[in-house]
Amino acid sequence: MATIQLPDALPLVEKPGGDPAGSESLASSLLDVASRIADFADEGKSLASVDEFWLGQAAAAYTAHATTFAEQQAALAPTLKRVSRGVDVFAEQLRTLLTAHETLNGDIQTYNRNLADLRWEVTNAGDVGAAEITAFQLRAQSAFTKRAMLIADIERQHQRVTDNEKYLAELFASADTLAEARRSNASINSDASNAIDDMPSADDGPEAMSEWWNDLSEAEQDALIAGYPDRLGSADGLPASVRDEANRLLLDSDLSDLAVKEENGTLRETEKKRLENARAAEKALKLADDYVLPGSPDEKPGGSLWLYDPDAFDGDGRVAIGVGDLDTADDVAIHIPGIKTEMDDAPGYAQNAVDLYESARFNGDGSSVATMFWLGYDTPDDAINWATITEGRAKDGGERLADAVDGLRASRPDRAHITAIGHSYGSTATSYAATDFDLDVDDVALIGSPGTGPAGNASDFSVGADHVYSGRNSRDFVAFLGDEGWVRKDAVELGLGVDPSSKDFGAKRFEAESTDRGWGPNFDDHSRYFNRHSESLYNLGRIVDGHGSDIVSADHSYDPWWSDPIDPEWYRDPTTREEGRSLTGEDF
Amino acid sequence: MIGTLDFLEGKWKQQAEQMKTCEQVLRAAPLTGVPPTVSGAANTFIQMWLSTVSKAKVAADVYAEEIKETGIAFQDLEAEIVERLSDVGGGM
Repeated sequence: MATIQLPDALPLVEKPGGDPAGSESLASSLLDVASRIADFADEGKSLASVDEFWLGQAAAAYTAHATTFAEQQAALAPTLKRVSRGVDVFAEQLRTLLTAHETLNGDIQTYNRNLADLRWEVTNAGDVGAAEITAFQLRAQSAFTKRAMLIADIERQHQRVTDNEKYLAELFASADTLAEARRSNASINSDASNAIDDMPSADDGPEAMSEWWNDLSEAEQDALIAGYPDRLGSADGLPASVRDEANRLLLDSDLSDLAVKEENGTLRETEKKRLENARAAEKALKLADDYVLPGSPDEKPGGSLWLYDPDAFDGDGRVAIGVGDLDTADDVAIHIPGIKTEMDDAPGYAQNAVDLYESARFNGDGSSVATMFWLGYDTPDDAINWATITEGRAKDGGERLADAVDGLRASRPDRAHITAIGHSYGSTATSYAATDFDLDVDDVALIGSPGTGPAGNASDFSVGADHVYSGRNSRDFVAFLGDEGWVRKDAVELGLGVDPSSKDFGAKRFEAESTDRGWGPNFDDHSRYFNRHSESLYNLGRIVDGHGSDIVSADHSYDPWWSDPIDPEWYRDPTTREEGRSLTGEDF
Repeated sequence: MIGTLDFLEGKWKQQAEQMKTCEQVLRAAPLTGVPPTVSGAANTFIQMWLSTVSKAKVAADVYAEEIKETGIAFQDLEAEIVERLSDVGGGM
């Protein structure tokens, strides 16, 4: 038989050194010390000022000395904080590299096994014909090709590990003398400081942001996250995973700084709200992170902190938390909450996101799903006030929502199916987005709506009337505020536009009654649209999954000339846990 | 004023305690998660920061001590003034 040349086997790749959890623990320790030094410096500055009760040469000497000392300490805290963030980024990259290492070694083992099989077959083939020899040669050639690919992967992995370790070593070395640590740009990697200069502004649009990010090397991206999380966390166009990593660093920093201040009794009044917001975000994020799909213990979609801005809107805050992978999910839902929603309500909305995820997956077609609540606009503080009635906040919220969706779109290479779900005043904001700001989603669902703002008809929406859905509990007081039939908002200034469940509006109405509904109009029924095993959650799940045609339809409300508006759903018996109607997940 | 200096002294003592906590956190900071190739750099880094917070602790203690001494000096001065005035008598 002709000689068959076979490639050599490959040795397994060495595991990257270090461990992510240990590194994260080190990062936490450094962050704690940084927060304490910051508080020490703050307090030092205030203790240096004694002129109200102590005058003279001794007092002047003390003030001068203590002020200088406090300023020197103040310069150290940001440096140590940046190093802490860098260690966190190193840990995250190490986690990625460990997964890649396992995959690579699995591939090498498969290659070696296949090669050994081929070698044995060739050795024991005996006398074979030309066809068998050709087949062996083809398999040998394929093995050579596979080996070359694996060697390239091994080199790439080795380079990534080396870069990550080099990054960490340089990070420590950049702040290991007092002189270095006091510099304002200490521990900012040169990769980061070069790259940040080219970062587009928000005015350049999310596509420019996405392009800039994708052109950076992995090392530059890591260095930027550690150096400038405040610039990246809210940047529309960046991948959700990047925003998440940056925002988690900001959240950890806030929690650490403010907890130290609270412990030392130095927390200012203005910082109390910030701490409250940060803790709410932490709680909501943990809920999303820990969630496991009931009945599917292997499905842990994970959370992401897509937006974190605890000081926005005079301390009301801006926050968006997702469940599932916003970068890759086939179906993405964005829930826009309404009146009186502030950042400290985040845990309840994270629970809504979790329940919506479950509903979409449980009754879904197997496509991947991500759900997010988005509190990115300034909601009115009350149902009856100027901000609510004038719809200014809804319009502003609509513009912000459209920008957020554009950012999400630009951050992905594919076109996900996106559903916007506006609840309460959020439905008015969503209506503005879809009418005035070209909201780039595929479906819109409005629930518990007080009115659709500028849209008089579903066909005014950017998605077209066929993709506008409405859910209204017949006892929901807020949903009564929308215009019905001939009573328009220009005649009665109570609601915020047309009731989208009304016949004239032309949206697809779905069942949304609750078995717990009240006997008459009330506010409790306004908060039941995301309840597990409710009709509303079932239908929202179907829309989110891309199957709006499968909703369980409800008859529209209407306004006959001879009576008050009539809602046929008022007279229907609600269901719960009914398959294909209101069953939204596994029960245990 | 002496009461205020006492308050100031107490605050600086708290400040020193804060830095003592930093020392403890840094001493306990786990370096086991760091790759062997980086452990040298990590150790040097931690030692520098340990030394920095230790110096800050000493400085805070010195402020507390100096303010305490100043308070005592003021008290002594006040006592002396009272004694001298008493010696002078009240019939001036």
